[in-house]
Amino acid sequence: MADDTILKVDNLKVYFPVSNGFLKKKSFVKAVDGISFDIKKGETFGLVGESGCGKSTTGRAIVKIYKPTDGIVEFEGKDVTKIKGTDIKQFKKDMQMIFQDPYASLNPRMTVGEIIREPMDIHGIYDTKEEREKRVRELLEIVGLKPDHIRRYPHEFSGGQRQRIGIARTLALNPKFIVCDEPISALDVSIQAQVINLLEEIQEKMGISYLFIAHDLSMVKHISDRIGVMYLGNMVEVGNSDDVYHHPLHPYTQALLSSVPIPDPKAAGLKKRIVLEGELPSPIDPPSGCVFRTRCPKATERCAQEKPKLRSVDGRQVACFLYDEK
Amino acid sequence: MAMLEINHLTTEFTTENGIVKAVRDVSLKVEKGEVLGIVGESGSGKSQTMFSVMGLLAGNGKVVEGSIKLDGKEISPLSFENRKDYEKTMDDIRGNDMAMIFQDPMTFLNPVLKIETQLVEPIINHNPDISKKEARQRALELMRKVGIPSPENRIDQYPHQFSGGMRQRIIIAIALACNPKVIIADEPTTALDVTIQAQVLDLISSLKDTIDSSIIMITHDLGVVASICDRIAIMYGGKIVETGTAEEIFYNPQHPYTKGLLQCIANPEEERKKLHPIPGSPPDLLNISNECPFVDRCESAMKICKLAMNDYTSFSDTHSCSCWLQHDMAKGKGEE
Repeated sequence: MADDTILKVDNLKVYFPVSNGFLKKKSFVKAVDGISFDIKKGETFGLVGESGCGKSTTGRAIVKIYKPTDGIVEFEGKDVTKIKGTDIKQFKKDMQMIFQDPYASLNPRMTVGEIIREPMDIHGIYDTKEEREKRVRELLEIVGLKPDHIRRYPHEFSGGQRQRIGIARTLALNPKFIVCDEPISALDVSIQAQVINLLEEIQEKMGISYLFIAHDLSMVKHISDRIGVMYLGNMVEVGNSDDVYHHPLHPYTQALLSSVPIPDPKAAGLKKRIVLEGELPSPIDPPSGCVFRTRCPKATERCAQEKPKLRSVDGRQVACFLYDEK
Repeated sequence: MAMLEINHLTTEFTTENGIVKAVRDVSLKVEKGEVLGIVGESGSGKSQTMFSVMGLLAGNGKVVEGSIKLDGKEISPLSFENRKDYEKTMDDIRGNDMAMIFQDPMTFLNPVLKIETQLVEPIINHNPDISKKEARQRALELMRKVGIPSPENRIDQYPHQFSGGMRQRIIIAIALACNPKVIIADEPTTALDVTIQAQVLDLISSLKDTIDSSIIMITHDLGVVASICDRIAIMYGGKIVETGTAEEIFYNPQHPYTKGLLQCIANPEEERKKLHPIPGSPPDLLNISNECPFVDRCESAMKICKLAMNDYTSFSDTHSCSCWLQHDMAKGKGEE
């Protein structure tokens, strides 16, 4: 493992049990079914996929909200799934999360100051209340709010401002790693750009690594250094964001990218869309072999029998038999 | 002649805190067979404009000014003597002459009724002479038209047996049931995944060629309008700030808001560069005066912008915009 790797996910599996009623066999929703990737220090790793592909579950398993069924999540060389006691507190300090819904993720009965100060109170970072108060004001300024907003309540702010409050709260503990779970999808277009720029500025200043989860491919391409594409609990392609975007290898990535509507009428007229047939299969009973084969235009018999593994092709990783011999 | 013509429409909502002017002096025209896109952020009044047209405003909402003409016939609630007459006329128009496709395919369909019942209902309501068998035949045809595989089996199923994309197809089929003159689609693909969104957009653009209805697409996604709309209207703070063809809006935007909007979306085809967000947040429409709604976020705002909005300046037959920078006295000044 290279020294600059901050997070390593190896064969992560998260299954949720579902009950089918009395006397029936218990089955599982295979939300994440054996994915591996790593993230370097100061890097932004984008995780994309459609709803139900397991990208949020992956993020939550990494911050220890869900317990993995199998696999290893290594943060700075330590297995996250096994840490105990005081180490957990340190881990939670280094690893923070920004949530999707800026309305539901802030307690309506607490003032902005209390919300941002709470993590510092829990972890006992500063000795006096004055120091914490000062830090809260600093943080508010970093995220572009006014220090005198400290006594206001969340309902007095707009969606974009609330997302800024959420970001200030995650920064309170000087984390090394932030999981951003669809941080902009609840915001208006003109506000999304503000939040993206803020996240980029913070990264430049503090060298934080991001796991950026989103379904909006154009924004992910914009902010990420590397991108991982997920489909039905599996990672199908990982690579540099430019490579993946301009020369997608996996048939699913190709279809996904061609589906993105381009905000440019001339280019949109020239672009050929690969329209996928059908819908996402159920993660309770995924197809045998390659999970994408039921919708793949290039599927062969082999795809039904064997499950393709992620392998290196042209400097990136793809899970598809099409690139086997190359 | 325009299929739908809206002139100086103003809609207000009475709330505890005062009057919210959701739609302010909006004028729009949709020609026969044309696809018009209305683009705006949440709270820009794009949906309320169309709700005013359809007569679907919430109880505290009221059209206070303006005329709405459908195929030459005045249908604004202000032109009727009483509420009863208006509702009666609209009941006949809704579903028959004008149909609406809503955003959320999960809540639009009645979960306890079969697809057949829901598809046949508008057909029978608007054609009382038709037999049940014929209506079912027509429902099957509609399902084929919107690309639902094996409609004979699926017509007897319930909504929960359909996926999101398939449900949106059913809703489109219901909208098409009576060959309406105007179809209003309110964010038809927002709740769907990208690959499913591509399927539904493909369906809408193929329908565009086979039916002669005019389509109004309400959306916040500039990518969606770029690919299928003939003309685009940009709305902000209850006002239409700019209208034009897709090319005019994307390659020659005139209003500072349109320019700003185009700069703050990441175009994945281009090289990575810093986004230029529009500072601030959208205006509060509560007790708003005659000012330009964009004045507080506009880089080139002038004193006059606080007082009133300029009339529309035309750049071509299709392209016009309302901004004081286009006024003769401001020309060449605001660009600096």
